[in-house]
Amino acid sequence: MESIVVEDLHKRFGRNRVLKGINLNIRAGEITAILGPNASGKTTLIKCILGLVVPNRGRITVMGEDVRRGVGYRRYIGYMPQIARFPENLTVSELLNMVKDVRSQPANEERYLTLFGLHKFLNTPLGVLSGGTRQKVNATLAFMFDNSIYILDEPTVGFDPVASTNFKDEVFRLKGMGKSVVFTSHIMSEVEELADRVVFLLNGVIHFDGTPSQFKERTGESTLERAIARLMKEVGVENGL
Amino acid sequence: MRTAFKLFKYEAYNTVRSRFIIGYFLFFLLLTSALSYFSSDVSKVIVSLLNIVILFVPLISLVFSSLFFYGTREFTELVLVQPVGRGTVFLSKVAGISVPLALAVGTGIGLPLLLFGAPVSQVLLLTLSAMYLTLIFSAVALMFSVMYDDRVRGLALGLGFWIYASVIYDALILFVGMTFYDYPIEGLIILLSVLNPVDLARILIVMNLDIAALMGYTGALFTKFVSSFKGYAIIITSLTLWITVPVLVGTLMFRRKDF
Repeated sequence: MESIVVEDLHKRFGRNRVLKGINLNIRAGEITAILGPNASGKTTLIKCILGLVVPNRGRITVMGEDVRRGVGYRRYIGYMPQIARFPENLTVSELLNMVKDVRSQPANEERYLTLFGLHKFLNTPLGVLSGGTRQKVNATLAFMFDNSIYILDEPTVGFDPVASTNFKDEVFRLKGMGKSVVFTSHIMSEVEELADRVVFLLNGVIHFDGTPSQFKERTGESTLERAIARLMKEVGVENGL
Repeated sequence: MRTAFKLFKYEAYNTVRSRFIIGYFLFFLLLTSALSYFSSDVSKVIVSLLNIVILFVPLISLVFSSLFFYGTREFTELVLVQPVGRGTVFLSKVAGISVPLALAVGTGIGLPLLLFGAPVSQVLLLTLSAMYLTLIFSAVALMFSVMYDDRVRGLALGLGFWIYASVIYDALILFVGMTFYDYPIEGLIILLSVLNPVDLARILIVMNLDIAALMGYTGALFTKFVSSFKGYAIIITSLTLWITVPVLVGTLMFRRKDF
């Protein structure tokens, strides 16, 4: 079953055409990595799905609901943004309560507070937390509701090895429960470890959509990193990831 | 509406706990206490505070609101990905920033004045004006902040508005007065004053002090004009419009904004 369907999506910022007719289906029970160099359009694509960016053309449905027809579809999505900057003067527990208050959905924050060792920070203002701890709060916010879709933007940046391992185990657990997980990452080893499917975006166009091994086969390379570098050369882009 | 209130509560928590708000409240509390302590004439204290309120309060409200908005952009995104409408998010943000700021200045000025025995009506008008100016300049700053992603541009536009309202506007009134000296322009001057929230707040305070001469031509005209209920109603309505129009424009832009 498809949890997200993107059809002919176009987005332009001024003269800059960031997305040029994206078509993409995200399936349930699948971990999808959206890859691409800087400014390839992957964050814009994610933001269009989340309703943060308004597309110029095209259609997005989440669990069958058109994203232009209201905000209710967001209750299906848990989102972990790349930069975990929160209101400095609120405490961790106040932030969690705020999101719970706003969503009015049952939450299981205890599991993630334990998983990421956050209990001792519950009454600490977010402004004094380290980057890694804020990222753990960020992960808790994304995971604590029983969502159908999890969108994670560069999720493990700032995590220590223990948190990173726990995080990946959680992603596999969610996949096992039939949830859709979409993530972006610049860490190719992480992509190889997690992703069932790789979507490679370049200059606002999808250049590859398939499994990591198909990606390597297509380019004739042994690693994902080399496969991406090869594909970028093929389409005439040589700036790094 | 319930969601808006919930969001407002957390936005306000965040604002109230900032050291700046606490310092801002203490500044007005100490200043008003000191002025009241060293002067036996309440009118003089209120006029001194008036000058601070009409210059300082709009500027601080503008800069604080603008910087706070830009500084919490990622948090705004976090709220926007929840099942909440954009209008609700913006309104709660406007209220969450400007209401604590208005309360800080209102109580910082009002409490010491009441304790030192100033007439309640004059205290009310002064605090009301200060709070109105805070809400207006916060709303204007947030409107410009929504308009431009670049914080320098957003802040510069806000400061431009402050210069217009606090400095350029008086020169404009003076120019109109001098140029059309021989014509009956009282109505025009009153109409022009409605276009400047700072002028309106100044009129609201001074007209109750019987020292309209301090304000020059506009003041004398307005004291006559506003000695009626109609005058009060026009000033309060104009000040309220100065809040609602930027909030409405800001909400419309916020709904279409890319984050």
